[in-house]
Amino acid sequence: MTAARPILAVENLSVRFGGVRALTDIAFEAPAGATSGIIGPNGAGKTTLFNCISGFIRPSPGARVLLDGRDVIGERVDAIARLGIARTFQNISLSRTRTARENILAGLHLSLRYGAIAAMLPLPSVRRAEAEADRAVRDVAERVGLTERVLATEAGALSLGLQKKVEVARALVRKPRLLMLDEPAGGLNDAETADLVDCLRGLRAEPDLSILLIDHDMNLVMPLCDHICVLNFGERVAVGPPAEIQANPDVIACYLGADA
Amino acid sequence: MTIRLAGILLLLAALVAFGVAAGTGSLNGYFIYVVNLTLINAIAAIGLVIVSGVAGQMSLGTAALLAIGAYGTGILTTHFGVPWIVAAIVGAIAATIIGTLLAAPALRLTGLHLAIVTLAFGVIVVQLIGKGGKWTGGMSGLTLANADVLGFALSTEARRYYVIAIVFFAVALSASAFLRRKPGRALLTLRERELTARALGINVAHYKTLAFAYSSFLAGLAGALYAPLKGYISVDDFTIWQSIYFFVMIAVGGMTSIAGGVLGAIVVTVLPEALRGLQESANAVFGALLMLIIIFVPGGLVSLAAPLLRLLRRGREGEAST
Amino acid sequence: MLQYLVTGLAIGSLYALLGLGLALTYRSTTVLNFAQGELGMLMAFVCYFAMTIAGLPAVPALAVTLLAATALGLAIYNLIIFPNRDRDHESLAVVTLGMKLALTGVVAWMFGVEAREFPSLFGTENYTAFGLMIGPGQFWTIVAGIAAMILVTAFLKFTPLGLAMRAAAEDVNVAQLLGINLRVVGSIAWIAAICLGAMTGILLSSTVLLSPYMMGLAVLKGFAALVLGGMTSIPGVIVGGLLVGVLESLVAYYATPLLQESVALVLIIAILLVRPQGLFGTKPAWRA
Repeated sequence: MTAARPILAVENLSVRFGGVRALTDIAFEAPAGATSGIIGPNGAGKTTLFNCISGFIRPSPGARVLLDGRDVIGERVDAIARLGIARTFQNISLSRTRTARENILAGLHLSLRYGAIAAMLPLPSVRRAEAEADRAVRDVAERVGLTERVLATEAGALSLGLQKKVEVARALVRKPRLLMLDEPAGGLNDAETADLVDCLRGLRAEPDLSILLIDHDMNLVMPLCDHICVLNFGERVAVGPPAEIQANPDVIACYLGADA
Repeated sequence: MTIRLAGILLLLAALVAFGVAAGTGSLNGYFIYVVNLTLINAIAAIGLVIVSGVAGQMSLGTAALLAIGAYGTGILTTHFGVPWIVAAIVGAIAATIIGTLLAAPALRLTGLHLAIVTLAFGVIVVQLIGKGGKWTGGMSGLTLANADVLGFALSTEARRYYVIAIVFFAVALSASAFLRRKPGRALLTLRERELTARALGINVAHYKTLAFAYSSFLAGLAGALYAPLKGYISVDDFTIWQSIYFFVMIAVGGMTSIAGGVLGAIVVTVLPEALRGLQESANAVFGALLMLIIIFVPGGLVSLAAPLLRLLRRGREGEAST
Repeated sequence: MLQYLVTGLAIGSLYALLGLGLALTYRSTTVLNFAQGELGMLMAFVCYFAMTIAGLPAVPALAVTLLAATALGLAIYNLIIFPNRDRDHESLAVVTLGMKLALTGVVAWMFGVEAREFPSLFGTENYTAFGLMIGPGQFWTIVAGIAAMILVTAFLKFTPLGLAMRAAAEDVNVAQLLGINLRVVGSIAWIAAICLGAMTGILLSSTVLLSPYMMGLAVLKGFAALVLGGMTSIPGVIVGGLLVGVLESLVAYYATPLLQESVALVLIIAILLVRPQGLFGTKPAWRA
């Protein structure tokens, strides 16, 4: 890989909630085309960091979040999404009453280009766009490992492992530049986690996709990530490739010190 | 032949059949009137499904938007001799503009605050109409000049049916397409999880405004059709009770689908006519019905039919795979 | 002008009573009760029949009415609200919307739609003071408003049950952890709200005629008071109600009586657009 611009660069990021400092002076880079991980014990501030990147939370002034060189601080959440970031959430954010297919279809919102008036009319261009959307859903379902039967099932009726996969599929379906996964294996049993790891391993191979994931489970993160940033109590403890991180005494200390 | 296509053809067949029957003069004029009123209510109910059901923006000012459509049409045709079609479009657009103004508070207020604002708005509009002096007929109401569509005078109940049925069919089809496709999906996502919707790239402000605009247009359109149907309109036709009744319609039928809105309109409009004794106690019955439905069958009557539809759908998927 | 002010205070007290009932149920059970007016109307009918058909004098009739209000409050809260307390706020509000329609319909159906004259409770002599005239109904409305305000505020502030209600209004989960019985708190709130509604209905019937539809738009005045006060502030809703009443009177005096009925509505829209937390409410926590 050439010394390309990192897909994501975070500089000087601090977040306070009232008197609580959730994040202090966070800085790290996620290389383009790679899989990066943000790890740390529970409460380290990982999801807060994600929320800053997505635009849900505004960090203290002075912070910079550069998506492929472009600062997205202060942009609206949907504008940031439009720039090519897609994410999943720690708690399942699917519509329980709609089918998995419909949920994934919702992820194509930005890819479908027709307007509201066109949506009301039996236009061939709209029909084509919707057909392509259906195809895209089927494609991504295959990549992620979801059967037709699962697609037709109400999301609320699916197992947690499948729901997590549907969320990933929804984020992936519009071919984002940066896929952010918040605790993708949270709450999954060993079999489901292994299944998810397989699926994510497959995604790593994709050339134009950068992945950034959060988890506190080392067993998930180490084999998947090329580059890791460790947080504890809102501060950056270490940055580097997995081998380095695993050997880093500070990292070991912060995990042993807390009940991870 | 999908279920959807079957449903559309069935609806078309029913509408055409009724139109033919009405044209022969063998149907009771009052019967046709009730059908006309039902279709008009269905148009407004479809609008309410879009904004309050699918988009989840509680709007209690529907009757006022109908009033704008009706009075706009009435004033233009009666006082200015504007042809009905033009007046109707202007009336519907006026309702759209004013109804879209309601989107502004919707963007910043929670559901309950929005309910209060739309309720207040609904009452104020009607109060203003009541003070309109000779333009609106004030509190005594407005008698409308005869409406016609390019020379085709809407002078009999059957003739009015032709126009109303065509408009209804067009509305039902286009609204159904709207909800099935990108905008409908965006609105549903927006209602259930606003933050997730934003993360999916949905411009929440844009879509909320769209929902208000579309539903206001439909309400105004319904009002524009209501005017020639009654021939005489007054502020008593557009009270908060009317707004509440539209809510009853979509709650009873099913808040998130076109079929639900139409079904609800049928139940609420036709039932008091069909069951004589129901008329005096309509308020009591429908008030109780609203409470019961929200508590026990929140998906409305349509949700009771859903398991049946699912069986049908799985049946044909079984056929297709063999 | 002062005369108008007095009238404004009187009608404002009525609005304050209405708003107080709304505030209590909203704070304690998160239900926006569209039927507050109609519940008061029903109680006014109870009082009416107690006095006319049962022939009771005023005080026993009022006692009967308050008993009925208590029973109704217990019934509504425990049968309708409590079992559905996990539903979203809008659904519960729509249930009260249905109740509004149903109550109007039931009363109209059972007792007819004609307007009746409520038996006079206060005599017909106007009181005079400082050169101002005040009708007995108006006078007692203001007294009732003040009394209600003092009673409710004192109850909430100084009694253990009141403290429990305030805790439950702040945070339902924490209150439960502290051992506060939600059922009791909710029932008290609804009983109080319907009693206040009864007062409103009876006082209103002294000036306008009693009919099933008399409260149709009244709830909006209560909403105006509620919104001005910031939805959950008790002193706020009282001040809000009085303010609406006085403003209505001033508009009638300085501008035209025709605009009087629109004042409350304009206030609602203006406040919610410009300052949704009202005069006394707290601004919601902000997220970027």
